[in-house]
Parts: sequence; C-alpha cells; structure tokens
Amino acid sequence: MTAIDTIPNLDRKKPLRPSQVVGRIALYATLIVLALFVLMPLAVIILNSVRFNDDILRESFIGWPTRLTLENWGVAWGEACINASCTGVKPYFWASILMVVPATVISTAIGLINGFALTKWKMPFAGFIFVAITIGVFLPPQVVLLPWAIALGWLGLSKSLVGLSLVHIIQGTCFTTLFCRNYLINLPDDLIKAARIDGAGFFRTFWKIVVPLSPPIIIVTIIWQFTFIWNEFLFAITFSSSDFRPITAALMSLNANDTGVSEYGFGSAAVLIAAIPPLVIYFLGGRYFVRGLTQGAVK
Amino acid sequence: MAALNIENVWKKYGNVIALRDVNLDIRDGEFVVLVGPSGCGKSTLLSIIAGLEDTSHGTLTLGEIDVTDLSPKDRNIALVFQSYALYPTMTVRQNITFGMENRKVPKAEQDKAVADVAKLLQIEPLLDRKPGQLSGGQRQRVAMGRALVRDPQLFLFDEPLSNLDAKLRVEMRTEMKKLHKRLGQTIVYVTHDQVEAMTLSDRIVVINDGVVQQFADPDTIYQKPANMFVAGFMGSPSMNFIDVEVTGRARAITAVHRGDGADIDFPFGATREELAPYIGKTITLGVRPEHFRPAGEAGLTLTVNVDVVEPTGPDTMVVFSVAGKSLVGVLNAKFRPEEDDDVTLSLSLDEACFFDTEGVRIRGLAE
Repeated sequence: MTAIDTIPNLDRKKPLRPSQVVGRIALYATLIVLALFVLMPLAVIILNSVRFNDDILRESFIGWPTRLTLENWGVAWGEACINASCTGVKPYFWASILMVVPATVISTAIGLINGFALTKWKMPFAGFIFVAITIGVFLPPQVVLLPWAIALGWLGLSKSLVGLSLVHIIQGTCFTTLFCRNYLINLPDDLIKAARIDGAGFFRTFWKIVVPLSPPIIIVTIIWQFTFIWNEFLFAITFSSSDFRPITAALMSLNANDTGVSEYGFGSAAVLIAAIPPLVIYFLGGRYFVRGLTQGAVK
Repeated sequence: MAALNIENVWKKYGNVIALRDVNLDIRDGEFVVLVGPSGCGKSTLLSIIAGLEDTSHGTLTLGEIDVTDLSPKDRNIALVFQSYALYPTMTVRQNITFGMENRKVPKAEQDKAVADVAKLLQIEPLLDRKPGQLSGGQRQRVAMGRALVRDPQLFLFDEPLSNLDAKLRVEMRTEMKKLHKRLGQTIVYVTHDQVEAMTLSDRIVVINDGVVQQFADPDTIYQKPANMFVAGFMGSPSMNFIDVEVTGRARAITAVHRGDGADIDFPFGATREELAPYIGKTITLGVRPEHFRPAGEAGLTLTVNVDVVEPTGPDTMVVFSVAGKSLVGVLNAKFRPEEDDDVTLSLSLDEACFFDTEGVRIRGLAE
C-alpha cells in the first residue's frame, strides 16, 4: 500500500444547469411571497399593540407607528374591561393556565398508558378499543357539544373549571392515545418480555421501561394538547361563566366596551398575550416536535 | 438446576398448529439445542418453556414442579434474547439488578451478585455504561450476565449469537461451552445454525413443521438421522439423495440408480442385510459430500463430469454429474479439477444411509 500524503479539495459541488438556477429563483420567490402572506396579520397586530389607539383610528388599521407606546400591554393585562369587570385579561390568563396544565398532563398520561396497554400488553379486543377511541379524533366538536352539556349537568360540573378540564381531558385522550399507540407499537417486544421474566408487572414495566423511552412522544403530545386546549374556543365559550372563563372566551368580550369605540391598541396586545404560552411551549420543545412526528416513518 | 420434562405439548394460533405433540425429556445439567428452519416452531417452544406463551395442550415440569400455568417470573428460568433486549435507558448495572429489585433482594446481596457475575464475564469496566455505548459482543455478555445473576434452574437462549460477526460468534461459542462446563446449568438453546447445534449440544432436537423429527446426540443426528429431513437439514452442503432400486439377493445386494443412459451400481454385498426386505423396491440412498474422495482411496470408483468448482479455502466443493444425476462432493483443497472435466472419484459407502418411500431411515439390523 502507498501512503496518501496530499488531500485533494473535498468540497466540490455539482454545478447547477441554467434551468435549475431559474427553478431555484422561482422557488425562493414563491416561498418569500407565501411567508409574507402568512406573517402579515401577525405583523399588523404586533405593530398595533405599540401604537396609540387615536393614531390607529386617525391614520389606518394597517400602518407604521408614528409614536411608540407600551401602555396598551399594561391596559390589556390589568385594566381593560371585559363584561363590565375591569381586570384586564390577567384573571382569564391564569384561569386558562389552571385548566390547561392539568388537562394536558392528565390526558398525556392516560394516552401513554392506553398506548402501552393497547400495543404491548396482549389486551383482549385491543384493535376494537383502539378504533373506538380514535373515532373521537374525527368527530366534529359540535356533535358532542350537547351530550357534554347534559353530562356536565348530571355531574354538577356545568360551567366550572373542573367541568371544562374534564371535557378537554376526555376529548384529548383520543388524540394522545392515537399518538402514543403509534409510537409505542415500535418499541421492541423483547424488552417487555424481558421485563416480564424479570418479574415486573404492568405499572412497573410502564414506569421503568416504557416512560424512560417515551420522551419524544411525550413532548409531542404535550405541545399538541397544550396548544389545542389553550386555543380552543367552542367548548370554552359554551362551558364557561363569569366565575370561570378561559382567555379565548374572554377575548371575545374585550372589544365590546361601553363607549362603542373600537380599542384596537390594547385589543392587539391582549391577543398577543393570549398567544404567548403556546409559542413558549413550541420554542422549548419544537425540535422534539418535528423529530417526534417523523419518528418511525423511516427506519 | 433441574430437569425439564415436556409432555404432549401442542400450540395453536388461530387455525394454525405451531407445535404438535412435543415430548422431550431434558436431563439435569444437559445442554440441549433446538434446531430447525425458520418458522418450524423452535422459538414458539422456547417461549412456551419460558412462560411467555401458554400451551394449548400438554404439561411442563421443571424439577419436581408443574410449571405449565406459572407466569415467567415464578418459573425460575432466565432467557437470553437474540436482540439481547437490554433496557436502553438503564446502565449495565441497573440492567443486571432490575430483576433482583423486582424480587426485593436486599441491596448488599444485589451488589455481591453483580460483582460476581461481572467478574465471571469480565464486564466490570462496563457496569456504569448504557447499552448504546457497548459493542455487540459486550451487549451479548451483559445479556448473559442478566441471566446468570438470577441463578436460575434453567437457562433459555434464543439465537444468542446470530447478531454477532462471524469471528466473534466462534469465540463466544467456545466461551459459552466453557461456561456451561463450569456452571453445569441445564440449558435449552435455540438456533438455526447447525454448526452451533453440533458443537455446543449434549443432545439436539431437530424440529420441522412443529413436529420433533429427532432428539439425539450430535453424532447420532449426523450419522444416523431419523429421516430424510434430518439428513438433509444437518450438514452443509446437504447430503446427496439418490433413488436406487435394490437388486440381487440376501447377502449379495446391489443398489442400482437408473440414470440417463447409464445405470450406477452401488454394490453392498453382505454389508447391509437390512436391505433384504426391500429387494425389488425403490428406496433412497443418502451419501454425504465428504464421502467422496480422490481416486485411489478405498470405495466405489465413479467417473464424473465436473459442473462447478468452489474452493472454500480448507476444502474444495465440487458439483458434478454422473449418469445425469447432479451430486455435491467436498474434497481436500489440493483437488482442483477444471469445469467440464471428466474425473474419477472414489465414494466410501460405509456410512451411506437408506430411506424408505416414507423418508424414514432404514435401520441396520444391529441398531
């Protein structure tokens, strides 16, 4: 063998043909236009949240700020009036947190246990039960609205934090079971058999073997559930009252104030405040989200 | 340690019968290998012994205890998986102690057991690593360690070496044999590799289509296979099967293969008296590839036409035809004929086997 003492340039790239260059330009132009189209409304809302309402009314709804203010954010958070109670969105924000966090955690936990039982624990009728649960994913929420109203009435949980959380936990279990079942079905059966021989029961196998292997799907499920429940509007508006109201339902009443003057400034700030938690969750776990969704697609 | 008795075991999945009336009497301390083609039911039988699958019929007795309906953890067995099935999120130490923790073994006892096993398998430096950081051979050792630490009455192995590369497989095979000699445990070992079966076992169980074909020591399996399936399955390349008509009379028997254009006579004279009842009938003659030798050695002289020559290093494998019949021989490496040559070979008939029309081997009168 002869020794290799010079290394050639290894950064060679295949040159593009003229038609490929044109295609590349067209592709990027299209992507930029689409991105602008999507980002436009967000930009308008962000700009309006730092404009004075007078300026917005005098100039136009869409426009650059001539003067900057952060007052809208303070008003939206603590002073704006919603249904004649001038507390800002603060109490509704915390009401949403109180509902979303337990509902997300509980529905994710149930989904993971379901997924394990349905795939790895030779349950009788596992296929049928899985289909039955997954049908819930495809049922429009309007269909279950009335049954839920009746059920919550029976349980004495109408228009309460616990009642709405229960709705979200059960509705969400359809999604979380689907996600977790599809993830856990790829877990090697031998691991579960080894645990059986090692004398571990259902819950010990679940805690010691399945949960430690599930962070990707747990993160995906949490992001999905948190965002979905936080943004959900139909159940929120139907099953809430002045005692308990999530932020999405409260926003609805924000602009309808007594004077009849539209308050675009703090309205925009309130909307942005309501959008922050799902964004934070997504930024914290986003890379797991993308990875989790593609998991198992390609070996 | 304990003996394992399998009596009339059947297994049915839906409408498919995976095991038919399996009866095995495995002695205390014996190394038994289950071997057969894929889908033959050998892994199913192992799962049933482990308690991971239920029997559809029949009983299992381990030592003095009927374990047929006991769950795996109550059977006092350990299983080493083909995939090793190490818990990926636990360290090697945690993998080994997981079973003891479940059985609530005191901590001090656990530590001692881990230390002993780690020393035996030379995995002490690996104890705090995760399985993902180990090589294939190291994982294999850890999987063995997890089984050994249980000190079971019965070890079960499901193709434990088949994920290793060829060199390591041979090393681990030797090590396994040493370990068995040292610990003297009862072992049931599944493999599709007949070399593993021949080298490791005290006795071999050959299974096909869910039926035990033969249960015997390796030499018997190889030299006196119960039927054509066992004869053809064990040995590589496979035994040559030749249709022959038994002619002559008692003590002067010749088996004749009616070939294309020419007959081949296999004279047995008075050596195979068991063939007397088959005179005038057609049966199957089986000769192993290594029974062919270069011309000049004792045996029947045959002139053959060479089709393919495949040198393997230590041997030369030759595919040739004689009277239109294609046969395989394994001769020593120095024998290198050209393709399409006519060469003369010598065939030793001392260990030739005969099979009746049902494929069952015709036993010698002394057997």
